[in-house]
Amino acid sequence: MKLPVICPSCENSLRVSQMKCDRCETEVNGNYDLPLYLKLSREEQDFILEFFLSSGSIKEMAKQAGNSYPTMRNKMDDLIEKINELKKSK
Amino acid sequence: MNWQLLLNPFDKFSEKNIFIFGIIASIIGSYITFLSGATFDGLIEVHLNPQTTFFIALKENSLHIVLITVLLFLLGKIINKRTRFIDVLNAALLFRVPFYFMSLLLIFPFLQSLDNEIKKNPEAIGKLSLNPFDLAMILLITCVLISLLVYSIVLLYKGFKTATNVKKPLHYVFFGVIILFAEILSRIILPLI
Repeated sequence: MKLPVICPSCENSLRVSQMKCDRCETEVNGNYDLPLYLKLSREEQDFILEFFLSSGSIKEMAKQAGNSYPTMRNKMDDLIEKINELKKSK
Repeated sequence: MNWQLLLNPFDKFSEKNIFIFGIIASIIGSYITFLSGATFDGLIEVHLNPQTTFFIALKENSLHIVLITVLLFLLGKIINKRTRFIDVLNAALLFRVPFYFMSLLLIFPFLQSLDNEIKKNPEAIGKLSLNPFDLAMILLITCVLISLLVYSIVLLYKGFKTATNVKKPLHYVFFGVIILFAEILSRIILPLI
């Protein structure tokens, strides 16, 4: 199931208010920040994972995705910009 | 047909493939220009000139490619330090391809005879008697030429966008200014070489 990270009503970032242990059913309530990685869209998370799995080679990623190198690098630059903005707004 | 690929080949094809295609297209395109007796006397211009040789066509073509590459590369470096020369060069190489089709269109004999008539007597341009078929052909060719010109600018823009990852409207204005500047510069440099 896909984890929602954006409020469907007002589009603000969602926070974690409850966690539950599957085994003993202990519940923890609070107001926790989502980890930065989870604030990204599924596509962006997959992109980072692919980058990691291809040993950090954008060229290799581009080849696998059937895109050109500059297209892939632009995607990476946009993602870096987004992560920097998320870090700033923390 | 994949239109997206035609409008933005820089998205999918590797820089090596685009470069090889661009170089081959430049040589073939210059030869077509020589055969059709056309001349690239400006960055975004094609005119008829029966004195054109293959060497002249290649020289003009190369100048336009080098000029727009250098200017856009400098702009690209200012906008985004990661801009690579090869990506801008590829944009310039593909930008020229529609111009080769334009010069191919100028092969039509009736266009050449019309051009000769106008050159002989430029003042009689308003008095030329054209039959409806010729007139329709001129209109059709004009539409195709304009479409090819727009397509060439689209290719250059898409190539530049991919090379630099530009997004701000001001950068597009700079892009337009560079094209106009390159057009003026090519008209100054061409008679000197």
